[in-house]
Amino acid sequence: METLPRISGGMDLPRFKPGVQHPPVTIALPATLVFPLIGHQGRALQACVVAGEHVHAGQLLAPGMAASAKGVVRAIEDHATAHPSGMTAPSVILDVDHTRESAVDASSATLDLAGIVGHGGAGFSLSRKLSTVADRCRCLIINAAECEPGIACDESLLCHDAGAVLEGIKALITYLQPEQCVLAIESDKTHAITSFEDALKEGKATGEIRVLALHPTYPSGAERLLVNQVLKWQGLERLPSHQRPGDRGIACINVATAHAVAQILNTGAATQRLVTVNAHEACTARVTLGTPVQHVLDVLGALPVGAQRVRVGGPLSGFELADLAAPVLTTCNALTVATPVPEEPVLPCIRCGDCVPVCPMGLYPQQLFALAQAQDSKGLQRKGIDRCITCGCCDIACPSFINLTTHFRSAQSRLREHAETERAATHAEALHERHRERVARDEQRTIPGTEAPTRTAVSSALSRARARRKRSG
Amino acid sequence: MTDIDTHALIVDGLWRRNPALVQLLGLCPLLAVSTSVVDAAALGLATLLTLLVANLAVSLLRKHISEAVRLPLQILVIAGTVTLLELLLAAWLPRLHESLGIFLPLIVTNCLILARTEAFARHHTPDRATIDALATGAGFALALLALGAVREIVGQGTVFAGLDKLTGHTEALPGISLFAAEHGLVLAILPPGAFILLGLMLALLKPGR
Amino acid sequence: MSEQHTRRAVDIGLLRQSTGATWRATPVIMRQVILALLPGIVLYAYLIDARVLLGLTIAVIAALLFEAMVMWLRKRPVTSRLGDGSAAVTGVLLALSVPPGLPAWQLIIGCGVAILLAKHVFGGLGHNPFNPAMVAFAVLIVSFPVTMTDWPMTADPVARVALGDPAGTWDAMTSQTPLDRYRAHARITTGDTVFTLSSPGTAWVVIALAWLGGGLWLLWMRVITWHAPVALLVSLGTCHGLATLISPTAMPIGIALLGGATLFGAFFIVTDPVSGAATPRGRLLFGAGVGVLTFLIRQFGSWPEGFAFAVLIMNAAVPLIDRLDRPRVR
Ligand code: SF4
Ligand code: SF4
Repeated sequence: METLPRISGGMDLPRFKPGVQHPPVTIALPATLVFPLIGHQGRALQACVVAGEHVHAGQLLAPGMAASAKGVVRAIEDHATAHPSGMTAPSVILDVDHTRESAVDASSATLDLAGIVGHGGAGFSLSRKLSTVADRCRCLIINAAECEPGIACDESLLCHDAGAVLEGIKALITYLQPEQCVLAIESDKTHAITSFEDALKEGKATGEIRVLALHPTYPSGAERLLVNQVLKWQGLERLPSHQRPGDRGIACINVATAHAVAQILNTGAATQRLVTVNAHEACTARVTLGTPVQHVLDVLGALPVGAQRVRVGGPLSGFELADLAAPVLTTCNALTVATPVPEEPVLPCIRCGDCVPVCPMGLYPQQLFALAQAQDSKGLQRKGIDRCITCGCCDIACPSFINLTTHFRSAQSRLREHAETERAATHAEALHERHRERVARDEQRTIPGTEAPTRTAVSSALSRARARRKRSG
Repeated sequence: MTDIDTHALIVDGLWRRNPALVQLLGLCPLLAVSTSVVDAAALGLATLLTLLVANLAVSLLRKHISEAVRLPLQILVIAGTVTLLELLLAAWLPRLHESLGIFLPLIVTNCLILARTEAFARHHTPDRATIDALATGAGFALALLALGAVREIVGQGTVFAGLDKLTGHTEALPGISLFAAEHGLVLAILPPGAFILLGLMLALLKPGR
Repeated sequence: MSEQHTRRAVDIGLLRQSTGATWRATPVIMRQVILALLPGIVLYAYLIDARVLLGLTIAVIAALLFEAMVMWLRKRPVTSRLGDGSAAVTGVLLALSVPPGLPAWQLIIGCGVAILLAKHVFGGLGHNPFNPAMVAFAVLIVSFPVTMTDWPMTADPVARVALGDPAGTWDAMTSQTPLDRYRAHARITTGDTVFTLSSPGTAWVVIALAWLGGGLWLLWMRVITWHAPVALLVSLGTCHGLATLISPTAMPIGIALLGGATLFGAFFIVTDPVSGAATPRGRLLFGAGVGVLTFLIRQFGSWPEGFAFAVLIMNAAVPLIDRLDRPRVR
């Protein structure tokens, strides 16, 4: 096993990995599942089912969002989501049909990736990711690093289901035909490494997939940093800030995503994920996507009591859940139930610069903070706010207890929103312009017999489209 | 034009809209000449006089001045007054004239005076204009005097040093000495000190408004 | 802002502690700075003038009182801010920058200027663009040029013997730090480079080395970073080195670096986080700027020691440095 170079910045945090020893506990299906219509980076999705429709597991509810169980769409309405802001969003509410799933003909299942969303932090659509590197994939990186304390679902996955992970990786290799495939994992997760290497031997894939050991520094598993480490190990130049990994023919895929690929191959749908649950008793739960957090904790007997709160994600990158009705989705890797510790009162920034060397992205958090407080969006962009991975290292380093990351997260979403409205406005303007041109053109040459389409024509076109989708779905 | 209550005019000029302490007009002479009480008083009086004459003149002429040339005319009136004043001072109080130096002719450019003639005198009757000039001028002079007193005391430990310049005495009058000059905070007399002290003065007066 | 009162489900404090000796709260940093100054202070009191202890006491008490007063006026919790120790550090730094015999009332005025004008007028801890101690020093030296340059005439007789100048040869000179001596001396006997370290000036060198020691300890404890001090010493040394090449009567490098406020300033003044640059590259630039300006003021200016002014000028340049220094994003 080879070792990757240590990242610059970041910090060595305690390696607290709860609930790995025992095999995952499967959480029974709840009565209803919830699928918020939000895509990558908060984009709104358009539902392609209607209330009352019967869906089967794996059927797309919206582009990039598949149902995880058989059932009936009860409604499409606002529902709590697991979002840092505690916002609600239009969601597909599914009444689960508890009768046995009609056996899926696994042999006919192709690698239809449309419904898989990356199980890492960002929730990037897998098919999109793969299509950017298809045909020219140089390197496939399987990211098994979980450098944040308190999260161990990927480790648990490797320890207890390495075979399926390997199967998923192999499928990805077949699909992408990369020149090289590596699995990056922290050097101290010996149990997971052994388990995976055993699977490799069993699957006779030892030469095909190389296991690379990472220095267990937080956040060395962040995509960009990991890619750079691998590039450095390969003796290549690291990614310049404007390039994405895909531009260099690199696909970086989370182990859990690889496992989801295997699930699709075997059952036709990726319906579950592992979630580390940190309550009075830590465990790993196998949760059907869309299950409300409430249900998961209820089954495990870990509902918060008194002053306890539930946190989604780790202590650094996560956030406190506002509403327990919010569903567990692909990006939810851990649930922590604990009594919040009152934070130290925030002191003014003394410009000590302690936050600078710990930033793994080489940013200047202190300056970003000042700019964020001044709401200087230009300055923020100049100083690279969009490169901030909100890892939280600067928070830990700050002697004045400033929640820098919170500020950066909100600044980022503010900027993104702003860009979005800007883009939408330009787009709308262009559309309007084009429409006016066309109207003007049409007025000049009205061809007899071409009237505006009637209502029936529209609805018949719609139903045709729906039928086509049913056939393909 | 509605007539403005005399009392309001006076309160405005002296306090509510004090040109130096509220509107921050005429800061250049205010900061440059306020190194001692005597200089400050002299410049304050000169400004007051100029303002009085200029306000009165502009108010009297207000019906005859056309809109287009009012600014040059106002400046002309002010400049004439200042020149007169300067010649008088040079003749009778040459040492004061010397110590005020360039800041005496610079009264012409003091925006405070132009502001009063432009904003007030040309819309009001001569009696109003006179009251306004007296109140505003006194407000400016008092602020100048206060700053001058503080700077002189803090900076060199005296008050009214060089009173002879104002009275025309030939022998130098040392004024009242509070403590030895070398214990003074020299900074107070330097330009930055003027800014700092003015700032402190504004800060202290703030709760009073 | 609501975020400032958020609570976390996981104790981030635990994570902080787990990162070991590198993390400490702001108040602790301030305490460590004072600790690092102690050896120098003890030597100062013993070798030069014990009155410095009195000065330190007065300055610290005055600084704390002024701070408490402002906090009360600004209706902020008094105790929490006194506890952060920054006012005390300002008082200590000021007391160590001025001659030990400075009249107490002048020192108190200095503290008032530092806390009220230099710090709180701009918004208090973390918001002051200028180093409070240096602002106070500048105000004092401009206002009281006599007492502010009145460095002690004689060292403690024992120390004098120990340091090889029993006759007190140098006592006739008006100013006593090696740097002042050199300037005074150079003016009297130009061309004759006679400065040796075996004079009461040696005591200052010993103290300068104590500051160096304290500074190195701070570096080792990671309270400060090396960038600004090293940049300062290198740039100052280079300037003086070049000057000696050009003109033999220029101040020798040894005196330039060991004398005056150089080492004290390098480790305790330019490392002030609030008024300095916050990034490594920014700090290099900041330190180098202070070095060059100090040299220029020493060599061509009329003040005996240009360090405070150099720091203030570079403080004013910090926003510019911040703006210019773009992160190299990884
Ligand atoms: S949260 Fe952002 S700014 Fe802070 S250390 Fe992480 S990447 Fe850097
Ligand atoms: S660590 Fe905190 S106090 Fe220090 S510079 Fe960064 S934000 Fe400011």
